[in-house]
Amino acid sequence: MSGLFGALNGGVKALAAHSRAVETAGRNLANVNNPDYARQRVVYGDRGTVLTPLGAQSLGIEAKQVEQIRDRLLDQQVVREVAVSSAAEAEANAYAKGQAALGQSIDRTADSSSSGSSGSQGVVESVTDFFTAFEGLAARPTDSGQRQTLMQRAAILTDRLNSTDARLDQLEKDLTSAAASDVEDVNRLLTVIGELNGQIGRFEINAPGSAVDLRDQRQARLEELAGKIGIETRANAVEPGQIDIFARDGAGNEIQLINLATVPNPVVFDGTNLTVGPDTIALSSGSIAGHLKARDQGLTQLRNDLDALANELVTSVNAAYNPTGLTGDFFVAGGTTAGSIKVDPTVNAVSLKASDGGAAGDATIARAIADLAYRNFNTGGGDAIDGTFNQFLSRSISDFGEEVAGADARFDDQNNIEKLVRAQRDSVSGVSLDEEMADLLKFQRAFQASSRVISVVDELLNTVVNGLGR
Amino acid sequence: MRVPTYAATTTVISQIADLSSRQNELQDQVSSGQRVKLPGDDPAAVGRLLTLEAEKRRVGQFERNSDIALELTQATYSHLSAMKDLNVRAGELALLGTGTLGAEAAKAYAAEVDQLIEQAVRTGNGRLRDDYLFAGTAVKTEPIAVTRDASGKITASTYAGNTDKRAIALTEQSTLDVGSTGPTNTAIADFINSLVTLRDALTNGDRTALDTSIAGLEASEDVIVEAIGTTGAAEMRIEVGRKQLGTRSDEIERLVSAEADADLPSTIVKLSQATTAYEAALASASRILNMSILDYLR
Repeated sequence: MSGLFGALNGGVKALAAHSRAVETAGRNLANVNNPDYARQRVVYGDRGTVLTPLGAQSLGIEAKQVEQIRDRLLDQQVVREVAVSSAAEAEANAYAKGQAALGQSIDRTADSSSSGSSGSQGVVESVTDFFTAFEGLAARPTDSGQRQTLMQRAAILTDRLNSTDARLDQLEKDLTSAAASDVEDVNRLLTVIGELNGQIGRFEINAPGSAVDLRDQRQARLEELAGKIGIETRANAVEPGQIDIFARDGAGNEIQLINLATVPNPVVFDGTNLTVGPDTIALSSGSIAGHLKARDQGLTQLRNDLDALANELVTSVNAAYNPTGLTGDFFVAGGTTAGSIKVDPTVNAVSLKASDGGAAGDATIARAIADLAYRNFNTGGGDAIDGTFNQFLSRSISDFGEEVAGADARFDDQNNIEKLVRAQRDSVSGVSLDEEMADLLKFQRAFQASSRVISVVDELLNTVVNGLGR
Repeated sequence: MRVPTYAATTTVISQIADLSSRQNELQDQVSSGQRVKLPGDDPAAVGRLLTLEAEKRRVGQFERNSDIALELTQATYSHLSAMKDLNVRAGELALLGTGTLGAEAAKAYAAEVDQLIEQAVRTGNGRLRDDYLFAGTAVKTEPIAVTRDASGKITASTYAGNTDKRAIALTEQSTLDVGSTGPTNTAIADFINSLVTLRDALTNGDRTALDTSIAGLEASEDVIVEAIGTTGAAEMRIEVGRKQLGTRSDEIERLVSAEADADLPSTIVKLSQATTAYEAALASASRILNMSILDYLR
């Protein structure tokens, strides 16, 4: 159509296109603080071309599509980094809780040389105080105060080991529970993503890439899912708008988590492994991996070390206290773990033996037990620990400290990487207030200009219709 | 690079959080004076610190052991000195007995020796904190057992303790035998028997018995004097060891301080830097976040 009516029609179409552009800028502005939102743009296009006597002429502009500014590679990178960050964060948090449960700290204000109770410190100090109490008993075997101190320190030692083990045990249970809770979230998210996949497929039958809001929601849920479990995604070969989500087993084979709109099998957690149908997922990232790694590595090692310490304490102290095996043990013989170590109930400040039937001032047993503090144990020789009690504990706590510090450092590093990747993605997809306001002005002016064209055409038509032939 | 509005805000919040965390960490170090508190702060240093702290506790126990040893040694020394004084007085009386004495004078000397015997038994059965000093390790057994006649006078004494030594650890590697030894303890009983012989010799005017008692007193004196010397040497060794323990404790404290304590001047400077950066971040953020193209559009 050409002529004034054609121009009028073209103006109206332009107004509609600019209105869509203003509307889109408004939507972008409304989502300026929405982290899941990718900015949108109206794609202008030509309505077509007709042949006129004056040559080929355009039918005018129209808003062909609202497109989303997303970089698929960056989106995938964010998903990967979120998974790694979540694992590092979960691990660091678990170790921080483990460190609190261990209760081992350096307090320079505490008086470590006092002869009274050992204050509120950790396992290392309670072990040292236990043996120095025997050292004191050896020096003054008939002193009832020394005997009371020794019994008190023995009680503190066993209580410290029992309570530390109980706290670490509870933490391990909490981590298992957190992993189980995350697995429930994983299954919920897989269902939601499957549904979104299906909706996107239906919406985009005729216009690929047009279900922008649904794609935003799916990306947000994908990142949430990656926070729980390491996943990989790719566009479905048949339905490019939909995505496949899969994890991998130990051999690197894909385990499909979503097939278009359906979840073939739920993820199942048995307390140790995550399985999908017959396959076991090799956990490498995501908070579930972080929880289980902290539980099964650093915390388990720490508990094993405390158990070994308790075992050696019970074995060696009982052997020194009851050399003939006939006069009663110091610790209950069966309690050889940190959770079960206990002073034999028959041992008290009065019945405590300083010697094996010797004179009142004989302190051979007390001396022998005090000397255990300096003894070098050797697992190769059948002992439960290597080195002295103090060396073994200091090394164990130092190793655990390395786990804590390492997890913190990994989390900090990974957090920085995630921030960088997110910044890169935001630089592509994020909404800029200044940019949108400038666009708004641009579209407003374009709308005003198109309106002006309509107004001019109107005047011309008025001239033609009412002014000619008078 | 485009900087979208939301990203600008989150970046500022993240930076402020990082600086705030750093400030908090440094402030904690300044206020506590400690650089290391938890195993995760510096694992290797914590490992070394725990070993040093344990050593410090052990040194504290050895210092207390030294105090016990010193107390015991001093008590033994004073009792042996008292015993020696008794021996000296008995020697004087014996010497007087060898001269020409009237019956009344001899009786008076014998009465004094009898008092010396009672005193020697009390000294030989001397205690420290309810433990007998001269009983070996049989510290709950009265070491000097005496036999009395019908009038209550001591007629003989025997040593009822044992010959074991009491040993106290002064360091991880060294122990010290404290108190008196078996021969000394036996010599105390012998000394009392010599006094009994002296008393009876004076009472009966028995010159032969008097000579026997003098020989016994001299033999006892030798043992007691030697024991006093040994005890004095032990006391000196304990005092020297105690000083060494004090030096060792100071050295451990210095090592602990080097590992655990914050270097206050540099920590305060770092805190000041962090505070300045924090303030700058807040000031610049408030300016940047408040500014947009909206301020310039009508």
